[in-house]
Amino acid sequence: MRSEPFLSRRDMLVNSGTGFGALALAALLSEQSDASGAQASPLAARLTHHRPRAKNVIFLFMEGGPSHIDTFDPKPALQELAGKPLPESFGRVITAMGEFDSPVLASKRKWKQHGESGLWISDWLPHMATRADDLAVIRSCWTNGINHSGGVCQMNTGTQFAGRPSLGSWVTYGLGTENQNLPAFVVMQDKGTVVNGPRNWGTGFMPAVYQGTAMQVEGEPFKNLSPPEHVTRKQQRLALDYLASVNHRHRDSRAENSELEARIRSYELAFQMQSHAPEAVDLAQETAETKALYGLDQKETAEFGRNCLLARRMVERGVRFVQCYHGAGSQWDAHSKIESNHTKMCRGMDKPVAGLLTDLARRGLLEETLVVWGGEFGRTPMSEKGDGRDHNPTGFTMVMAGGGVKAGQTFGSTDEVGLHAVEDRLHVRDLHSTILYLMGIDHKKLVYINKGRPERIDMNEGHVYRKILA
Amino acid sequence: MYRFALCCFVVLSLATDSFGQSNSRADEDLFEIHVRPTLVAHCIRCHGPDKQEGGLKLTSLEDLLAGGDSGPAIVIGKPEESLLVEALRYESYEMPPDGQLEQDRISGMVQWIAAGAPWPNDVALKMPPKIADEDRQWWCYQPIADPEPPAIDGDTWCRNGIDHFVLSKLSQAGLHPAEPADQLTLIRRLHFTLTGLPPDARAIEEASSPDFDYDAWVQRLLDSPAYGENQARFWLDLVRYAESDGYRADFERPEAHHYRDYVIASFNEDKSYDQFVREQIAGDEIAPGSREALTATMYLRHWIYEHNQRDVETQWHEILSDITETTSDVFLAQGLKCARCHDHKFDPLLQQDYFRFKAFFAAFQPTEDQPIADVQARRAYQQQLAEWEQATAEIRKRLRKIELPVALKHATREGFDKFIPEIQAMIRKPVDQRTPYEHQIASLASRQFDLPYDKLDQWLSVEEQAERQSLKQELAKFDSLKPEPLERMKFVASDVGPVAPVTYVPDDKEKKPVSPGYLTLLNPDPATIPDLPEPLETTGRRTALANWIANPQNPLTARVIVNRIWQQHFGRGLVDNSSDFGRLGAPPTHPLLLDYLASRLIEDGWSLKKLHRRILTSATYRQSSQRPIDQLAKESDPNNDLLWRMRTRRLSGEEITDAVLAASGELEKLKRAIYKPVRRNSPDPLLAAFDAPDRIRSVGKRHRTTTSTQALLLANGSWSHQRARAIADRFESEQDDTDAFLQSLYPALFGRQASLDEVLMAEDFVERYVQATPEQTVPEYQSLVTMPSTGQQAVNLQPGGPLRMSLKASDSLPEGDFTIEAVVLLRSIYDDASVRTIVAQWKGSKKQPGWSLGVTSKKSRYEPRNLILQLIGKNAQGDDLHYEVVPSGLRPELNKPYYVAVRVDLQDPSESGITFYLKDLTDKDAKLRTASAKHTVVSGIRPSNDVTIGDRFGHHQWDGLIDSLRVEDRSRDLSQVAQADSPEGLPRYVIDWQFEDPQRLGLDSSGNGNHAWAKVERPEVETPREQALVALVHALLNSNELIYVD
Repeated sequence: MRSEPFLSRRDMLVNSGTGFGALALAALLSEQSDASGAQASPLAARLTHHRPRAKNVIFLFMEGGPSHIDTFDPKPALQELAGKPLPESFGRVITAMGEFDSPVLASKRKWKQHGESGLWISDWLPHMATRADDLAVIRSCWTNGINHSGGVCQMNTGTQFAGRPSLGSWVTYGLGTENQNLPAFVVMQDKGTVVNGPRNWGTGFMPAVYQGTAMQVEGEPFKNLSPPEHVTRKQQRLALDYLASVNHRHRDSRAENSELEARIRSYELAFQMQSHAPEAVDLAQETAETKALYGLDQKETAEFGRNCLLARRMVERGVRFVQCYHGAGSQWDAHSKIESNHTKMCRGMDKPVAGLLTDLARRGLLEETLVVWGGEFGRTPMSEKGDGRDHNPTGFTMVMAGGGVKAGQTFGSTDEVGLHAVEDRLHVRDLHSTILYLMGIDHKKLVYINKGRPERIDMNEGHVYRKILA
Repeated sequence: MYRFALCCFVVLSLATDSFGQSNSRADEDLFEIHVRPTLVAHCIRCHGPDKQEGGLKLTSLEDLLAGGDSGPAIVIGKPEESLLVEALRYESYEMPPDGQLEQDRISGMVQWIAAGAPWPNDVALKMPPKIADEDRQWWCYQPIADPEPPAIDGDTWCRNGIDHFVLSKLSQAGLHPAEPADQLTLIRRLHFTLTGLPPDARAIEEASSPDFDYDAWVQRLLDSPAYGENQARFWLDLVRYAESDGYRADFERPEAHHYRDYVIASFNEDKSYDQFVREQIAGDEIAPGSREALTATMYLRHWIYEHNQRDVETQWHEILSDITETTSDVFLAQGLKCARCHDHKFDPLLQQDYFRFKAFFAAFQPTEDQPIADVQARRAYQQQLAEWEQATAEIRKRLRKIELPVALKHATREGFDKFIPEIQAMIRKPVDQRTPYEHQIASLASRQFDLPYDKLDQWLSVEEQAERQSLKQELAKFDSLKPEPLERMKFVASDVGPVAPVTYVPDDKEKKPVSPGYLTLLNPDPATIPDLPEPLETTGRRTALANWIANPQNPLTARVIVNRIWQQHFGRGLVDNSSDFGRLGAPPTHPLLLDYLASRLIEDGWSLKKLHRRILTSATYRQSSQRPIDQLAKESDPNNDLLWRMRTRRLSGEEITDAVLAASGELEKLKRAIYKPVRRNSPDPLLAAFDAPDRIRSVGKRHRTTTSTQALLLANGSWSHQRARAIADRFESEQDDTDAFLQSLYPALFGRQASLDEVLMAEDFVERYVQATPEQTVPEYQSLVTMPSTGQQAVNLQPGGPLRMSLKASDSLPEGDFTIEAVVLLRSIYDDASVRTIVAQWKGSKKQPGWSLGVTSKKSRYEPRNLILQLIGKNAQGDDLHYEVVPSGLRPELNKPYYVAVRVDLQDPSESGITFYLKDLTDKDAKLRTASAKHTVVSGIRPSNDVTIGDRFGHHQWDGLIDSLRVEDRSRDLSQVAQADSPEGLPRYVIDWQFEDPQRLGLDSSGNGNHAWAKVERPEVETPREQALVALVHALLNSNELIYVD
C-alpha cells in the first residue's frame, strides 16, 4: 500500500486486505455491475481477517449516561472532597450544564468486592455482581461529545457529528449475515425514542443495505412485515406469484442485468422474513424459569428483560449485531436526584443483564457472543442542582463480557475523582477497533470507499486494546 | 505526493551528506537504506519539523535520544530496549498507525540501533517537497482543452460532436455502438431523465408516430417546469439541503424551503452556471439588493446545528469546516476533507490548502436579519443609523447597564449561565467592542437563548424601574432620527464585518496566520481580495472565491458540472467519482469528450439546458440498453465504459413516488416528492429505503441498493396499497373488461401497451384471485338507535365510522370555563392506551391547544374505563403549551347507560376547579357520583379546529351511543338542581344536541345555531373482481419494469 502508487479504487480495495478485501470488493462492484456476471449479495456471509473471538455482539446501551463512579469505579476521594469545589489540579472541562464549580457530590453507594476475581461493584447492581467473574470492566474510556446527541452518535459511529456509519453497519458490511431470514443488525428500544432517532443505526455514507432494523415495541416485530389486514395469506401468495411471472418476463429480454434478478430475489427474501421473524420473537417458546431469569415476571424489569431475552433469541438465530437501548430518550440522565433516578434505572436493567449473561453462559453462547454494556458517557464527580451529576465525557466505564475478553478484571483507570481517564485511556474509536478485532476484523483493513476516499470506522485513529484480549 | 519524490530525494542526499570520519561506508548504508527512508516516509510527518506528537521529534540523532513524553526513542546499541522498535513492532505503541511496516524495514532499524545508531554529521531530516512534478501532471489540473471531434471515415451514426468522441473510442477497441432504442423506450427514458416523471398520454401518442420530432421534444421538456424540479434533486443532495437541524431536537428550519425553490427556479430559467455558483457563495456581496441572490446564500446554511451545544467554539469550527469541505466537494471535486489534519495522502492537497480555503469563510456570519438593500440604500441607512446611535449612545449605555445583567440572568430557553466564563464574557461585551471572532462566537452562543426584555421590570428595583422608564422615554424622543427600517431576510449568510478573524492551522505552534488562497498547486500566492463598497460590511473574500471558481480558466469547475450531468443521464460519469477527481478514482474514460463538453458549456455562456440538449440529442444517448454482450465486448470492455450500449437506470425514490402518483392522477393534489419536507432525523420512509441520502454530508451519487426492506415497504406498506386502489379507481370505467383495463393501465405505468400474453397472464391472475376472495357483506347500520333506560334516540358511533360528526370552530365555543353533559353508553374500549372520546375540540397534538372528554382504555396509565378530561393550554407561568390529563377515578361499566358530566373552573387549579359527575341510569335509585380534581392548565385552551363528537379526527373514537350532549361556556355545579332562582340560574347552553331527527342528526336546540355536520359514509363494498384488479395494480407497482428504465 505504501510503496505502490494507487491506480484505481479497485486496486486499492484488492490491496487493502487479504481475501477479505477482495470479497468486500465484490460486494461493492456488484452495486454497479453492468455487463459482468452474477451479483453476489452484499449481505452474503464473509471471511474474517483473523480467528474471531466473537461471532455476535449484544450492545446494551444505557442511554443518557450512567454514573461510573456509582457503579463500577469506586472513588473514596469523593467522600473526602464532598461539598467542596473540585481542586483546579484536576483540570477544567466544559460541562453541558455549566456547573463546573459546583461542589463534589459524595457517592452514597456501598461497595463490595464480588466473585473470585474480587471486582468492585456497587450495591446498585446486585445481580450483575453475581456475574462479576464474567465482566471485563474498562474504567478509562473517554469520548468527545458533551451532549447526548453527540455522545450517542459517537458511541455508535465514532464521531459526534452525524453522517458516518454505525458500528453495527461496519460489522454487517464486514461480515454479512448467516441468516438472510432476519436482519443482520437489529435494534431494540424500550419505551421512548433514542436521541437522534434511527440515524444511530443508519449507514451514513454506506449503502442502506447495512443499516440496523428497529424492532417495534408492539405489534409485528419489524415494520411492514405483514401485508394489510384485508389481504389474506393466500391472496398475497397469488399476488407474489403473479409479480414474479411479470418480473421474469421482463427480465428474460434483459438477462445480463443482475440487479433485476436480485430484486426478484428480494421479494422472496421478504416473504421468508415475513414467515420466520414471528417465530424468532415468539417468547411463548421460553420456559417460565427462563423468563423469570430475565425478570419478565416483575414489573420493573419486564420491559428490558424481554429485550434481553429477544437479543439472545436473535443471536441464536445468527443475527450478527443486536443493540438494546435501556432508558431510550436519555432516561439515565441524572442531572438532579441521581439517587432516585439511578436506583430506578439500575433496578430496571440489572437483573435482565445478569439473566442474559447467565442464560448465554449456560447455553454455551457466551463464548461466541460479546456483550457490551455502557452509556454514551459517564457522570461528573461534581454535583449538579445539589443532588445530581452532569455529563462526563472525559472519563467513564464500559463493561464487556463473553466473546474473547479477559473476564473478572478491571482495565485502565480514572483520576482520583473519576473526572479524567488517566491510565490506558481508551477512546470510543479504540473501543470500536477492539470490538471489531474480537469479531475477527482488522479495523485497519475494513475500508469503505466513499466518494473515492478510503474510510475506516476509527477515522484512522483507533487502536485495538490488546490487554483485554483473552 | 511525497512518496513519488522519495526516491530522488534519497539519491540526492546520498550524494551530498557526509558521515563523520569514524563512520564507515557500512554505517552510511545502514542509515541511508534503513533509517532515513523509513523516518522520512513514515514518521516525521507527525514527529518532525512541523508537528511533534507526544512531544517526540525524529529528525536528528539528538532528537531520537531526547525522545518524547514517554522517554528516549532509542537506546544506542540496544534495539530491544528501544521504544522506537517496540512501537514499530506494535508491541506497545502501534506505529505508524496506518499499518505496520514490512519486517525488513523493522529489522533494518534494529540493525542500525545495534550498530550504534550511526547518523551523518549535521543532518536533520526534512519533509520532502510537498508537491511533486508528477502531481502537477494529474489530468484534472491541466487547462481545459478544446479538442475537435475526431473525424471518422464513412460514419453514418454520429449526430453530434459527442458521438465522434464515443465512436472513435469504440472503433479503437473494435466495438461498434448499439442500435437506437425504439421511440417508446426512448420517450420514457427521456421523460424520466429530464423531468423525473413518466411520459404522459400525449407524449406516448406522439412518440408512437413515425414523424416524431425527438429533438423538439427534448426542448419541450427542458422548457417544462418539471425540468427544474427534477434537476433540483441532484443539487439538493450535493448541498445536503434539509429543513431541520439534525442532532437531537432536529428543530425545523422554516425558511429553508426558499432555497429549494430558488434552486428549482434557477434551473428552470436556465441561469448560467457561473452565476449560480457566484450567487450561492457570495450573493450578499455581489447583489446585496436582490432577494434572489440572498436566498442563494442559504447554500451556506445547510450545516447540521446543535441548539444547546455549550462547546460553542468547537461547533463553530465544525460549521466552517463543513462549509469548506462541502464547497470543495460540490464545485471542485477535490477531497480537501482529507487534508484537514494532514496533507492529503494521495493527492497534492496540502493541509495548508485546507486552511487557505477555509480562510475564505473566516468572516462568515449566519444572519437572520440581512437587509435586502443595495449599496446605496445601505449607505443611506447606515449614515442615518449612525446619527441616531451617536445621539443616543449615552442613554443606551445607561439602559444597557440596567437591563443586560438582569436580562441575561433570566435568559430563556437554554439560558445564559451554563456557558463557560470566556463565552459569557464575549456575550456581555457590547457589539462594537467585540473582535470579529468574539462576535461570531457570541452570536452563535446567543442563538441558544432569548432575553426577556418585556418582563424585566419584575426583577428590577423600584428605582431601577423608574430609571429604565425615563431612559426609554428619553430614547423615544430620538425616534425621528431613526432611519426607515429596511426589509430583511432570515436564514441567509453574510460576513461578520469588513475584517476577518485570523485563520490558523490548529496545531501550528508558531500560529502563522493563513491568508485565503486557492490550491497551492494551481496558484501558490495568496488570493487577491476585491475591495468592496464599505456599506456591505463584508470582507470580499467569498466574492474572490466565487469568481475563482466561476472563472472559465478554472480547470475544475466546468469539468465537474459537465461530469455530474453526464452521470445523471448515463448512470456513471465520464469520471467515475463525480465529487473527487483525485488519484483514488479512475481518470476519465473519455478525457477529450469531457474537455469538449466543458468548453462547449463555457462557450454557451454556461447554459446547462444547452448541455443537456447536446447530450440527450446525441446518438450515444439514444442507444438501446438491451443489446446483449458479445465476445468482443466481454474481452475489451466488459463494464461498458466505452458505451457500446445504454445503461439501465433505476428510478430514485422521488421518481418512484412521482411515477406512482402520476399514474393515480394524484400528482396535483399530493405534490411532487421534491416538495416533501426533509427532516434529518425522520426521513421519508420510501425515499430513505430507496437510497435517498441523509442530507448531512454532500452526496454526488446515490447508492443503488436492492434490499428486502424495499420489498417489504412496497409490498406490505399502506402507501402502495392506497395508490393501487386510486389507480384502479381512475380506470373504473374499464374495470369490466380486463383487457381494456390493462390497455389503460400499462401506458400509465410503463409507457406502452400491454401485449397479448400480458393480458392473458393478468386475466389468469384476476380469475384466481377472485376465486380466493369471498364476497363482502355490508354490516347493518342505523345512525340513531334507542338508548336503554331513557328510551331516547341516541347517535350510534363506531370506530372507523360510518357516522362522523363535527362542528366548525366559532367564538361561541368555550375559551375559559365550561360544563359538558351527556348520556352515553360504551360498548368496548381499545386494547391499547387510546381514548374513547365523547366530545373534544383538539387535534390530538400536544403542541396545539384544546380539550377532550373521554374514557380511557386497557393500557392507559390511569386505569381502564376512567372518565378523563385532557387539557392543552397555558399553565400559570404562561410560557409554553402544557398538556395534562385530569383523571376522575369515575369508571363507567361497559354496555350500561350513564349520565356523565364535567364542570371546569379554568382559573382555579385547586380541587374545587374541576368536578366530574357520573350516574348509572339503569338504577333509578343510583346516586349522582362526583369527583373533584386539581389541574394546572388555566388558560388558552381554545383551538381553531372543529369540535368532534365521538371522535378526534379519525382517532380515539367512541364505540357506543351518545345522547343529549350539552355544553355551557361556564362552570355550573350539576349537583345542585338548576332553578331560575338558584345562584347560577337556569342552564344557558351554547350547544344542545338531542339527536332525535334522523334527517337533521346534528340539530342544535340551544338557539345558537351550532348545528353539527353529520355524515354517514357507507363503506364501499368491493366485489371480488374489484379487489382482484386492485391487487393486479399493486403487483404491477412492485414490478421491475416500473422502477427500471431501459
